[in-house]
Amino acid sequence: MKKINKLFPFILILIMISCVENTKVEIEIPLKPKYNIPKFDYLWLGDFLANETIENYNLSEEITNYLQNEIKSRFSVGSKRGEKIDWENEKNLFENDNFWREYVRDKEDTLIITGSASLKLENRNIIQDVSPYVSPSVQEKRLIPMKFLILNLELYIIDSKTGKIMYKNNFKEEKGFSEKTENPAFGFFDVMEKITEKFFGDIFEKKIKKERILFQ
Amino acid sequence: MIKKILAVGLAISIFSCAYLNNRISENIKFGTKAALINLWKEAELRWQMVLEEDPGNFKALNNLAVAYERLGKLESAKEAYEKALKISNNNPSIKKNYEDFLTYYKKPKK
Repeated sequence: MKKINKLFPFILILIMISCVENTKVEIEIPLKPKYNIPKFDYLWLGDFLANETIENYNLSEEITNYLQNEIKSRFSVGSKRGEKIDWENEKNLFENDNFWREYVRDKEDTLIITGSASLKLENRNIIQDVSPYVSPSVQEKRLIPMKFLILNLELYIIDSKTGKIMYKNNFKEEKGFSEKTENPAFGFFDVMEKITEKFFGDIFEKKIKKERILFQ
Repeated sequence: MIKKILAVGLAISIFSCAYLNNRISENIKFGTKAALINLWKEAELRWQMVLEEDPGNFKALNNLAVAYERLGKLESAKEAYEKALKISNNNPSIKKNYEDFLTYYKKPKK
């Protein structure tokens, strides 16, 4: 009888645990884009104004290629390439409604992506702790010379029907390299990746996976 | 005589209460089964039916909050979670759901 009395709290806990009927479920949550861009079927990738670029690097071409590949592989919207723009002879082109209305041939639910960009290399010295393996007895810091690839990209979304700007945002990303790196332009894809993640989050719906507990 | 009437009344109220509780419990379970096979609209409806009969049912409120999240109704999800937490006196499972919800939820801009 005493044994039963001792076991009683454990039995009670077991019964309580078995009575809690929970189920774990994995759900996909649709997150609305940050900006309210109306429905579109096509993205027309316009030319980009390159304010500054590094030697032998066609910045506009690289940005357009990158964006088109990303859109093709990740989203179910079509994309087309726009013609080259003579930026030098056109002033304040982003504000020019007439120009953008003429720029796209097929106007059905099409948005134009364009913008201006500058890509540059900068030499900087960064402070780094000296590795304890190099100098175990001394706690010191030293200056390390590095190269930084910096991309400043201003992106516009323009409605092809009205020629008006619907979205404008400025993104700046950079990537550091050792001073000895011969071709820091390889870092372009890294900085573009960071920018496109933010940009797509602004205009496309995205889904996140989460685990939740449901009661029965 | 009065005792008999009281006894019958008591029996009726116990049976009707049990019947109602059973229906509520069935609807919660049905909703969960529907959710597990990805029928979230059906699940939402079932849990809403529970709340019409029993507005303080924290299980249905929690489940409904999850359904709202899945259907992208984030404002409603927040409201339902907060109500469920308050009624259940911070039930750990609901708290876990709600805290994870807050990691991505952002207040809509006015």
